[in-house]
Amino acid sequence: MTRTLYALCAAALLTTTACGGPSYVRGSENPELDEYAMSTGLDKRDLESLFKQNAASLMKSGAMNRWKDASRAGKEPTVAIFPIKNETTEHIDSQLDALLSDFETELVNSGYVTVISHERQRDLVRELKMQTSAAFDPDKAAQLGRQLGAQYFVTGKIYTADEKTGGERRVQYFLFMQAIDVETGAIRWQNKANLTKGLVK
Amino acid sequence: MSSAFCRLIAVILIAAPALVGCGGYAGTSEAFRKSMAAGKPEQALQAANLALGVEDAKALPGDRGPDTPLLLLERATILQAMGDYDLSARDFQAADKNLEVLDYTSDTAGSIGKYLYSDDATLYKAPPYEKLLVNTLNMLNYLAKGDLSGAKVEARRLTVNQRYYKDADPETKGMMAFSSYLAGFTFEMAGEAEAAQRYYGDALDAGGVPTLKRAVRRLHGLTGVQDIRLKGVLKTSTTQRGVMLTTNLNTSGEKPASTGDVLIVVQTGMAPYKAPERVPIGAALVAASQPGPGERLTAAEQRRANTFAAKGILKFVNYPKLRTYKGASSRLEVRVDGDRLPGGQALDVQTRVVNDFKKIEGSLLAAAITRLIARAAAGEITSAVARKKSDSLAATLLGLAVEGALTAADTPDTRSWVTLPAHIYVARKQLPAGKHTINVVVRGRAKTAEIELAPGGFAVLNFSDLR
Repeated sequence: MTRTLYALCAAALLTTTACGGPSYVRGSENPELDEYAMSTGLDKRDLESLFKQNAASLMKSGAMNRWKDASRAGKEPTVAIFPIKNETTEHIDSQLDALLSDFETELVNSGYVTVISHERQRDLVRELKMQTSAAFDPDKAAQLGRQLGAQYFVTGKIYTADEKTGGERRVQYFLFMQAIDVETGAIRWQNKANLTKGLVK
Repeated sequence: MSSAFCRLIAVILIAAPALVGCGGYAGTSEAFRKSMAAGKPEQALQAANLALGVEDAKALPGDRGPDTPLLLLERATILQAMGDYDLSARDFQAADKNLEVLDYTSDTAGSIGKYLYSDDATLYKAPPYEKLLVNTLNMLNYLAKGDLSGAKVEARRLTVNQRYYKDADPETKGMMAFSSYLAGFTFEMAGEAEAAQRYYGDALDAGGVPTLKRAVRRLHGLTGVQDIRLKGVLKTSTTQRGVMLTTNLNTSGEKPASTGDVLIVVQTGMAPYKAPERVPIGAALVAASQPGPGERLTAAEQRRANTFAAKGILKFVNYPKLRTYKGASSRLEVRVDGDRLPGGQALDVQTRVVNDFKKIEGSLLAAAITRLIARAAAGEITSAVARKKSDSLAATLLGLAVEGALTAADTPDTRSWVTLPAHIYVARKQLPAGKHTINVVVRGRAKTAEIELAPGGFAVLNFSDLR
């Protein structure tokens, strides 16, 4: 009988936890802040991982070698950076913009190409009443390229394989980046990067 | 009495009433529920902000309480009814994430609390129909904003949940027709005919939606794309290899650039909500002992309850009862430029909520009676232990105090998404590009909107009359 009483008390104690207010912190003061995942969306660490995988591939690709050669010959190619198409189960458009900005920075700093800001493309897409996937359509890509004066597009698509069970949810991201020749629609470089996020019990 | 024993009793007396809110979720939600029922969404929004502990709708709650996910759903629904689709989408997203985290959170304390104190002590696990409607109504937000990318994200999230519930709760299928139809519309407008027909196939499979068949035939006529499940709609014959041959269809292939699509969604009434009700123990015992789905009282528990009832210790059971709004079902009319638009009811949330509750009502009563027995037993134990240490009157009083404290903590679990619409209607038509006037009349109340339809474009309008 007394066991029931103790169980009652244990239950009461379990639910009377101490309360403390939240406080704002800096990542530099608390390095662990960037370490753990807070959602199945993309965070700073995920973006860095996706960027590094793709940037490394682009920098050692045949397309980059051709751009280097053209640049040395005084014919620096013009590259437009086009929005990454979000085909995932997460609202990550702003994170994908951040990823594109990283690409833009990398290409600008390479010194081999002239880069047209990706903000300009967004405006143009709106003006031409196209979907952000227009760069994947060879006809539309050529039209966009001519409007922008670009010879190449760097763009991408991101997909998820999203599964849910009683015990966990797993989101596998696959990012395909491409460099497309505006005139011919030919893909000059392509790379796939992936990462997995999850929510587990 | 020993000091240890005194401390234990003190913990129960102090902690038990603090475990759950006084009026439970029925009390928390009363202000915004009543404001919405009175047709005053601005007041409802204020009440929802107050319940969330924020000053205005732009703010998200910093400190997440146990009811925060539900309250975010309520505020999202209110904001949608007011036409603030940006903030509504943000709240739905936040609630969606929070509910998902709760689904995967272990709730040991809640499980113990459920047995001893109240069903309200557990973490909130949204029923399947609520989870599916989070993505559906948020898809509607993005469509109303003209943001197909955002709507597609919600459609994909919906698919993940649909796949999960198809296995975990097959009865949810009936809820999926409207959701799948909206997803089909989203992908059709995005120019992804194959995905659109797949979703339309899902919608047909789940019972269909008004205007679905017309949409399927039209899309097939324009693109030639179809889904095997749409065979009957397309009046086709199937070859032995499963390749579908179409007859009597417009296969011009081009979407008429001079027209656009208009989809109108009308949400009416509010779904039934749970309210605490005191039921005489005799009636409760009969109901909780009837065979049915869920856990019922065992013969031993029935005997124990009868013994306590005979002693006069148990008189009433406090448990959640479903309350339905009168006249939630609506007659409505949708007109464009004076012409009536084809459409009809796409989703009957009310019936689903009532049917779901019927399935669990017996087990809710049984759980409430079990807790009553536990409390009565705890009171008797306390008296018995105290009697050995002190005088009889003090022991009896202490026993009553323990039982009283636990009774005070027993709040019936009245949590549910109370501003959820009772019924959802759709109307849809292809219209010439240009300006149009939409009129919606629900139960004699008229609402009007002007739209400017771009050639080859679309417009989605939401009218919420949640009262």
